[in-house]
Parts: sequence; structure tokens; C-alpha cells
Amino acid sequence: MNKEALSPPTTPVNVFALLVVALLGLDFLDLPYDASSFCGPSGYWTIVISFGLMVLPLVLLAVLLQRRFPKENIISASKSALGKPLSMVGNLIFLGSYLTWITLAIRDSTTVLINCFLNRTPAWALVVLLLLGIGYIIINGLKPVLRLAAFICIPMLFFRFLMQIFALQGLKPDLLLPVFSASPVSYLKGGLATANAFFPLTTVFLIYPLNTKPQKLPIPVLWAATISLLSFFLGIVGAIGVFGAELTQRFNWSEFIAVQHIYITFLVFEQVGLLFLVIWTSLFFVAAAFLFSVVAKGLRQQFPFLNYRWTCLGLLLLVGTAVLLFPDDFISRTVFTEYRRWLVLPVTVYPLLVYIVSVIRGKRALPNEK
Amino acid sequence: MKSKFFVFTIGLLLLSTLSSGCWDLLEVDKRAFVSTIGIDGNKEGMIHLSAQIPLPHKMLPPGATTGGESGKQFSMINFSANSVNAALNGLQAKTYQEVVIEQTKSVVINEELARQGITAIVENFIRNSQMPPQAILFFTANHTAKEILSFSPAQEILPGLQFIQAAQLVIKSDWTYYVPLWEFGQKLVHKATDPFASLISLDQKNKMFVTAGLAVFNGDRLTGKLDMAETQYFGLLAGLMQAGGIKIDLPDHNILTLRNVRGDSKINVSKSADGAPFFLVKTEITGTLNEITDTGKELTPTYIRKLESDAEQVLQPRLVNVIKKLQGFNSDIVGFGDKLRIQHQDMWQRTEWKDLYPTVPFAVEVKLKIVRDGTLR
Repeated sequence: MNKEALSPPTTPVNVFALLVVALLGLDFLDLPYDASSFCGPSGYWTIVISFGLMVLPLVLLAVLLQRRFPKENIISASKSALGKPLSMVGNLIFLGSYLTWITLAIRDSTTVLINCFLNRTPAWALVVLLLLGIGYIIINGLKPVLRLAAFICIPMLFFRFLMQIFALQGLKPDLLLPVFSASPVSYLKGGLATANAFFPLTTVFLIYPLNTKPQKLPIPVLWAATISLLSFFLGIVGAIGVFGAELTQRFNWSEFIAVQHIYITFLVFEQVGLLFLVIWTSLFFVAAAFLFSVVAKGLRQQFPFLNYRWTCLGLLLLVGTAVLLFPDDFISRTVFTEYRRWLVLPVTVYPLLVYIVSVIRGKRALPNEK
Repeated sequence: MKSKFFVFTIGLLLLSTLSSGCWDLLEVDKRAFVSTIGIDGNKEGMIHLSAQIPLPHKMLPPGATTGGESGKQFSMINFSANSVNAALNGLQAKTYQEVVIEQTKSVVINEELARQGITAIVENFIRNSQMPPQAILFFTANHTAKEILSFSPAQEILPGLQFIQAAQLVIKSDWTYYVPLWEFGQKLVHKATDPFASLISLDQKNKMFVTAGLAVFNGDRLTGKLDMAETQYFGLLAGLMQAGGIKIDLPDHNILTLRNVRGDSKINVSKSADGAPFFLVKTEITGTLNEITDTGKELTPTYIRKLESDAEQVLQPRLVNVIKKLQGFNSDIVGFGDKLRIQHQDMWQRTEWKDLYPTVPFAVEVKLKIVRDGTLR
């Protein structure tokens, strides 16, 4: 495989498309659950707090790392900063977090599809179809993922927002009041709990060296995060404003149910939920392919003897097996709800650690490192 | 070249495995689409479930049919079991098709069953992802759900569709208020309000459905009903009336009727001297003058103001009576509890609302404005 296919030059627009597709595709449609369980009717502030707590420091950290290691992503930067043995452990934990995330995400998306539409289809069939599709996209490197993300980004964003706006049908402002219904500690806890919505943004540490205009890195990242913030905010407001804080906490995928409740007279689609799920699955497909691709590329960077395609195949098999190991939805959901909050830690703390150590040790990009 | 051909052949073979269809494939002619579900029950806990299934070939317009006997546009299947879902499953045994509830438009529940509590029924429907959350809930008045469902109205339209078409008309937001399943569920679990839903009965003589009045709940139990007039006043209080028509018997024995009436209320909660909440309901009503039996008088601003003032004096005690009646049912469908929750969080958290609500003090102020007068001066 040629180098350009594996590490294609990425314009800021491409970075934006990749990140926004990853952020919205890996949104598990249940943010309102965390938001309302911590803060009740005014749970919509939690995602704004998450933005302040996670996104802004993350962008700053990415810019600082990029200045210190302009042509190196976190995998090679960590080698310079921490040394080979330590960086190997760190990199494996960092990349492992993404793999765990993908495993849980694929299981959860399969569960949504089975619960809401394909009631009799076995989980393995959906997982196999999903992984085959992802495999087809990533087998030729990151370039096809990049193109696909750029291709679907605008239409998917349009339809997603359109449906989220329609989902405000029947919204009762009283259910969103009082504007501040919880204590500051609850808002902080809620903000930390919903911060995992921005998990995919951390992939910027893996792709920033591909950016063709390094000086403009914060712009696409912040735009992607802001548009996602709007979508998440709208999703939370829609769910709590329509169902109230209590009923929202009883749904598994409240954002999806909020779309499903839309009723438009004479609309061809009686159940808009199906259309929404098609859009969300398309985004999920590309988002998952992107994560697989960067993890495979990261592993190859860590262990140069690995072949990219065989690494992809191995990862697909590994994730597919792990997904099907969950005996039932209750266990997978419990594990997912609990662990995805913690999975944010390695992918945010590790780059910070690399940066701090590199500052303390005065390390910069190695002159011979590409 | 050889390897590409090999991959291509394997790919084609793999694709052929998909051509046999998926696990959820179900042909249209093998589906029995349920348009309305009726639920009756007895005190022993048995649920009697009825499903109304449209017969498409009987619903074609005249001339489009190819013969055959005329008759009902739908068939009915019933099953009894000790839970709604068990009864739904049992329906499968009554037809060669698969009973499909994805297109259900309405659910009719027996009032006697509703008096025993309906959380389990509503939760079952909300949990079931196949059940449309937009399906409208009705509660029977003086009939069983089975009687309602098996009734053929004079207007030759599928009863299930009749309900939903009525609910789509804004002018119907007057004598009753249509509540979809999701909204009923929301009110059911929301601690600060109680649910309500439309009442449905039969006019046997004229072969018609009558959807008028409201079933009101205390928690999940039906505790009372509002008649048509009371439902109108409730609509004015709760801001639900969008284009209603109301009749007001003025003190001078004249009758004033208004159309395109809209009403909404602002509820302010204040603390009384003993720390208990006091509710001030300010209701604003607007409408178009439709009829005044005191004919011959020119509609001067002074005269209109007198009419408005007289109407306010008539409406105020009626709105008060509706609230008192709802307090008697311990059913907070106007949303006093929600206002207390929003305006005084500390008091709300200390209060056991259901104990307080029946005796909570309140006052009603009515402001009526006639905004149009038709084509006569």
C-alpha cells in the first residue's frame, strides 16, 4: 500500500468532516439519560459544561503538541518524550481505549437496530455485515474513509438537524424549567459524565500531522466540536422538553425515541425514526471505519513490522469476537454506560502526560523522525 | 489476475447468501395490520384485548370494487389473558397472518379497567418498540372497548382512521383533547402533573362515535370525568383550546357566543403567611364575536367592553368550579404542581404534593378580549 493512501494529506475541511462524522456517528443517542439523571430538567447545561471542560483544553493541548512535534502524532511524539518502553505501554493503552470503545459501540448500535427494527435478526448477522462493510472501507487505508466522510458529511448533517428540530414537536417549555435545577456539584458531575460524547475528538492527536495547514488546526476541530455540541444540545433539549426528566431516564435511546415520536400529517414516512436510524447508521459506519483505520495505522506505527491490511483484518476479528462475547444486552449496556465515562481518561490524560514530560525533559521532534 | 478472479467468485458466492432474504422479511399479504386496539378487563385481572384489522378490499371507493358482499370495512379478533402482552401474543393464534401493531392509530381502554390503574398497560406499549408512540389513547364512557371497536359508524370510514382524522383537526381541540401514548406516559411518570385523555362513547341512534369530555387521572387511576363544557373550561385554563367555540349566558339573559377562541393561563405561586403555597391563575381568553342575541345594538367599544366584562363575570366562577372539581378528584391536570416545582423548588422538595393539592388555596382572574366582530357593526 502506498504511503499516501495510508497517510493522505488532509485539508482542514477534511479534518472537519472526519471529526464531525466521528462525533455524531458515535453519539449513542442516550446523552439525555446522563444529563437528566444528574441535573434533572436543566440537564441540557451538562453538555455545555462538557464542552468547556473537555473540548477547549483538548484543542489547546493538540495545538501545543503540534507546535512541539509538528510532524509527529501522539504515537511517535510519545517515543521522543517518554522513551520506547514506556511509550509502548502508553500507546497500547491509548489505542486500546479506542478498540474498547468501538467494541462497545458496535454492540450498542447492533442492539438499537435489533430492538427497534430488526427484531428477529440475530446479533451476529448484523455484526458480521457491519464489520464486512467497515473492512471494505478501511482495507485501502485512510484515504477512502476521508473521501466517504467528506461525501456524506453535509447531507447527513442536514438531515440529522432537520429531524432533531422536528423532534421538538410537542415540546413543553415547563419541562425544561427551572433553568438551574441542580447544585453546582451536580452540574460538574453531569458535565464530566457527558464529556464522553466528545471522545472521538481525541483522534485529533493521531491525525494532526496529516493536516496540510497546521497553523489552522484549531479551526476545523473547534467547528466540528461546536456543531456536535449544537446537535447534542438539541438532542437533550428535545428529549427532556418532550418526555420530561423522569421519562427520559427510563428510555434506552431517548434521542431516538424523541425522533420516533414525530407525527406529521400526510407524511409519507409514518415513522421518521426509521429514517433517522438509517442516517445515524451511515454516520456510525464511517465513524467506526475511521477509528479502526487510525488504530490500525497507530499499531503499525508502534510495531513497524505489522502489515496494515493484516492488522485491520486482525482488529476486525478481535472486535467482532469481543462484541459477540457479551451474553445479553443488559450486561453490554451496563458495561457501556459505566466504562465509556472512564475511557475518556486514557485518551485525554495520556497526551497531556506526553506533553508535560516533553516540556520537563525539553524534548522536541527527533530530527530524523518522519 | 487469477487471484482477482478468485476474489470476485468468492464475493459473488457470498452475495448469494443474502439473496434469500433476511430474518425479518414478512410479505404484506401475510401481515394483519391492527388499526385500533381495545382493552377491557375484569376485577380478577383478566385482560380482554380486541384488535380491529382493516379489510382493504372493502375500503375501495364505489366502482373500484370487483363485487363481493358489502359489509364492515374491518374484521375483529379478540383474546383474553392475564396481561396485555399475553393477550397480544394470543391474537396470533386467531389469524393465519402475523398480527402487526406498527400501524396502530389508537388504543381504546375500558374506563372500569382504568379505575384499577393502567401503568402496566401504558408501560407495556411504550416498551414495545413496534407500537407507534403517536397512537392516541381513548377511554370509554358507558361502553366497553369491544363495543366501541366493533361498532360500524354511519360515516363509512374505518373507525380507527376516524379517530385519528378527528384528532388532526385543530377545531376539535375544544370538546376534548387528544393525547398520544407518549404524552400520556410522560404525564404518568412526571411527579408534578397527572394524565388525562379523551373520552369516547357511542350514539347508537345516529350510528356515530362521540368523542367528548375528558377522563382525568390521579396518578395511574381514573378518578373522574369532565363533561363537554367542563372540558372547554379546562382547555381555557391549560392553554389547550386553540380554535374553540364557547357559549356564555350573560347576566341580562342574552347569549353571547364566540368562535376561534383561544385561552391560556399564567399561574403565579406565592407563599402565604403560614408558608403554604397560594396559586393565582390569570386566564386570558380571546375570540371572535359570533352571536349576540341582544340584536340591533351597534358594537361600539363601550358596548364590547361591557360584553367582555359580563362574560368575564360568568366565566370566572365556572373556571373556579372546574379547578375545585379536579381538586376533588385529586387530579392535577392543569399543572399547579409543575408551577410550584418551577417557581419554588425549595417548597416543592419539602412538599408531598398529592396530600397538599386537594386543599391548596387559589384564585382565578379572567381577562376576555373580543378581537373581531364579523361582518356586522
